[in-house]
Amino acid sequence: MDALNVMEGASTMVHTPPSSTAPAVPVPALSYTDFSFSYAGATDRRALRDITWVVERGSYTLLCGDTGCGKTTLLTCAHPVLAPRGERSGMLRVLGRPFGEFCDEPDAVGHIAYVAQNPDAQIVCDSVWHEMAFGLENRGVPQDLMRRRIAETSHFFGIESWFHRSCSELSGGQKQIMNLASVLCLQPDLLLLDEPTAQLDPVAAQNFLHALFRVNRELGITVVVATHDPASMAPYATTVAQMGEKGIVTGVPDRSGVGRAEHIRSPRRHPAEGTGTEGDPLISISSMYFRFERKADWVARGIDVEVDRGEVHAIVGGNGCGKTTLLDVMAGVRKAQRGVVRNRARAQVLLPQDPQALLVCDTVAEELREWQGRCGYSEADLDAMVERFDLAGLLGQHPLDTSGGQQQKVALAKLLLTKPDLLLLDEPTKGFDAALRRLLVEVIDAERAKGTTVVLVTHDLAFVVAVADRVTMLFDGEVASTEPVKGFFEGNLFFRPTVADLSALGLT
Amino acid sequence: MTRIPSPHDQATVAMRESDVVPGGPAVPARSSRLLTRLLSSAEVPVLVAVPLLLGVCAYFQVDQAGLLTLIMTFVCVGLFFVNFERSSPGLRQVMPIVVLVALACAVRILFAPFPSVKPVSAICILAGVVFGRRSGFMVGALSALVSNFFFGQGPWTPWQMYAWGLVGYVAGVLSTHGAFEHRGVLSVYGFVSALGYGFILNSWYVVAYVHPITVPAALLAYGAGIVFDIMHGTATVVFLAAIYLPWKVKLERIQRKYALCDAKT
Amino acid sequence: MSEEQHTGTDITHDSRSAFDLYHPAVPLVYFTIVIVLSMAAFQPVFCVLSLAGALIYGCYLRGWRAVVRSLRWSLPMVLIIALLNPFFSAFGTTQLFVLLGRTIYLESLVYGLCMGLMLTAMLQWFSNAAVVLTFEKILAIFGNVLPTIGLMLSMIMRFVPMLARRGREVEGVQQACTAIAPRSVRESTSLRVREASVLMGWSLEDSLRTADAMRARGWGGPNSRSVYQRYRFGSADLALTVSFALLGLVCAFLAWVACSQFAFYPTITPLIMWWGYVPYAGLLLLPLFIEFEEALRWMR
Repeated sequence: MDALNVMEGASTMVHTPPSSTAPAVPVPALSYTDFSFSYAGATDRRALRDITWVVERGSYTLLCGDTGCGKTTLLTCAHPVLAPRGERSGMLRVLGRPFGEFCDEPDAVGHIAYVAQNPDAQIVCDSVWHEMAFGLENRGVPQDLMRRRIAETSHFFGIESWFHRSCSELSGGQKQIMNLASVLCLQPDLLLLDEPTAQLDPVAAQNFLHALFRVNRELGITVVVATHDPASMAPYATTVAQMGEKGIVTGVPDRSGVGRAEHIRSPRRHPAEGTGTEGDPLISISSMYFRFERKADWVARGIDVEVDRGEVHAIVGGNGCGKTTLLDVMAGVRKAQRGVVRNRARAQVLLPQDPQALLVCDTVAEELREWQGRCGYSEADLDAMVERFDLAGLLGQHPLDTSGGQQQKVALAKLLLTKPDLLLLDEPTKGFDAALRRLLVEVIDAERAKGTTVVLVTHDLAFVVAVADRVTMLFDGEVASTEPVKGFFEGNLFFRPTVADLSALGLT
Repeated sequence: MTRIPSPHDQATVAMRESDVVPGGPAVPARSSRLLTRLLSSAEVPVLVAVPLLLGVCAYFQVDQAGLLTLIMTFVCVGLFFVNFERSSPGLRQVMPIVVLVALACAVRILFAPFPSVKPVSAICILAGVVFGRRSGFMVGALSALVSNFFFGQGPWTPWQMYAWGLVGYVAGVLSTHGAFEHRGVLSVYGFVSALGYGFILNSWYVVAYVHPITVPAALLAYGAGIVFDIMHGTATVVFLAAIYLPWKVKLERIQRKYALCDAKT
Repeated sequence: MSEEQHTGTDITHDSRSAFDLYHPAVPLVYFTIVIVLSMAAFQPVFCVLSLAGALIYGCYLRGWRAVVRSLRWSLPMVLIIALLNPFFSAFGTTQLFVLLGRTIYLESLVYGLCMGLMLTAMLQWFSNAAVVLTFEKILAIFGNVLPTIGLMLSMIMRFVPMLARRGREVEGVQQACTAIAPRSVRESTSLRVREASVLMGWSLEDSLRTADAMRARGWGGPNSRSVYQRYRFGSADLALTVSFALLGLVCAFLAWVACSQFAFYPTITPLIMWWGYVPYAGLLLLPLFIEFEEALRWMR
């Protein structure tokens, strides 16, 4: 009985080229015809309405649209196990077969692979090799075949050098590459990805996109990526599907946004025109040294930074340059081993990269009230904050049931309710679409108008242009420069925002 | 993007729900069913056998008592592991255990500078209450095993696995009989279970390493640990008082979600 | 994200011992035999041999500094056990002296010393085993016998460093938000509990995503699972395991003979030179022979 199972598993594992199953006319990988969907329990509101969309085999398709327009729902509806519960109408064919029929196939999961946004949450096992083997183990693949699959996939992605590492040691980019590799071990025909680069820094994101490009062109696997940031992926894509109110419009990718912007006009005033509190900085750090352990390398080597009262100060730099460490030292979370750190803030708050680190209650409303007793804000303040972040519809929901962007809004609202005079933000736009980034620009502008000092660490250069007064660039644990935002980008060849990023914030 | 349906919804999509038994491979043969029943009915006797054997060894001053009782704990923990494995657990059994064990270990690591804050007992008790006695045992046993990879394995590992497993198991049994509806009972159990945990570990030491066992020697061995045990007990009571209700709500919410997960697989 | 590197203990990685050439079952069998014999063979010579073997191998595996460091806290314990035993379990015939109204006998003093030696030896053998039998190897053994629990252990080990990192993040955020800084012991305790609660809600929620990723890769599917064998059990493994087992049996028999001829009470049986100790010494030094043989290969 068992042996038979294994045999069956083995035979279905053999990769069938599209030509053997398909007739002369190539069958599309996905085809939605007048497809509608509404979630179970919310049948009055249709999440998807009359979608007609065809994804050709072998294409690299971007599915664009604002957060909340139903991209994820549309993709997961085609997945045999991730499909949400609810009511469907219309027609959906996956790899040439109607969805129901496709799901009944014993090996349906093997044909269609899925990579989600959060690199951490998708990892199941403790080490890279085990993670790669996991999917194959589930399907009862015999030893030798399993070894071969893992070997060739690891080779393709260059994983050999970290094949024996434990997953917790990997960088975010490596984790996401591993997630991609571990689903490709199963040799799928179709690869669905939901914002796969949203949580990555720009360099890791480009590496990932390049790997994805090779998967598509070299291996011929159909790739569909849902994204709110098509510009960075446009160079690799063959098709772009724009999802909007009127359904899906397909076209060719627009590659004009990839270039780095020539002229950068910052809406920011020069700090010299500021509130006249120079000479009394809110935070001053001089010759600060920091390392995590006694024998570790220095992460910060002699950093000097001053943050003036009422300014918006951005800290930028590559990966591992010590940005987050500097923010933690400013906040007093980490103690510098040498140097002088002065922080005169009366009440400071820190918005972490993961908003979940701030959320503990069972509803959004309770969440906003958690610190009411401790900090003494009024009901009116609370209502104003709910209004400002448009949270009225979420108050009764569990905070962790809301989307990532909504969680970020709840977390920020919760922090602002404590009326801080120093706001520290760690990668505030990570995973945000254009609308949310614009909202954040407005919020920071409003806080500045109130006299709040803001320090933010970010990779998002366009966002820096939009909100910051001054920029500190870190490199190799040292301050490369601290300048007003206007002068900072002049003369930079590499370190400039892209045209698309700027225009998303309305800055061109 | 939320795509988490609420638990009371009816699935309207015709998915492959009817033809797949959640998590189960095939219908087991009669002999294997008999074995399963035999193994699961052996759980309580084996749990009781460990302290019983300790007592017998102490009373008769058995020579190889240390080894004998150690083997007994291995048998006990092993039986629970085998039974869990044979039940072909689905995600709703596996995932909460994994998360709670990881949480117990992580909190033990994070709070290592505060040795009196030991949340493991409290987490075992919650696991027993929400997910049943067997999950309670698994959480206790695995927490001991895994956290000792960080804190050092030794002959105490099987004993900690047994003792914490027992804490979770008894919590599950008591909870199904409605004992914890009164919060006082919960606090008393929290305190007593921490003392019992210490008692089991000390007893093994006495039985294995004090020879011949005399009353003053035994009292000394127990007395040496009593301060720690009382601190452990107090910490457990405080922790339980703070987390019992809020965590129970969170765990039950997640339990409903996993029930859906398994139904779909 | 890369800060997880700073979470400290690196326990999943491979060690560098000659046992790495073999399947993890081989060192498991070896250490089980040695630890069981150390516990069971309660006779002065066997205890001394076991401790000596453990220390020598420990110096090789962990370095003498680490061994001394581990002895630093176990030696006082041994002394306490050795000295308390004659005080509380006073038996024997050879009176040494009278302390606080209690007669101290030589026999129970020696008994206590042996007990201390045995306990130290066992702890040292456990430390040695921990170096050779890394988590990865334990997992490989578990995975073959109990695949689901093996997978769960792997998942737990995946979660623990991640949760520890997140816990520090939550703690950092709480610390950085001076608006909620604790004003009393009670408040700081409740912040600690809050830290655990945030961590718990976050990880439970994330585990749902993990569960999705598992199902999307075929968990719970119709096929019965297979287990990726990182280590293969070859003929060399079998040969070594069988020789360990045989040697262990011989030693067990010899230890039984030695123990049955020896008694602490009422008077200590005099110890004599005996060939029967040699196989036990051989068993204890076997891993060093393997290491030595491996070292010789590199010298050539």
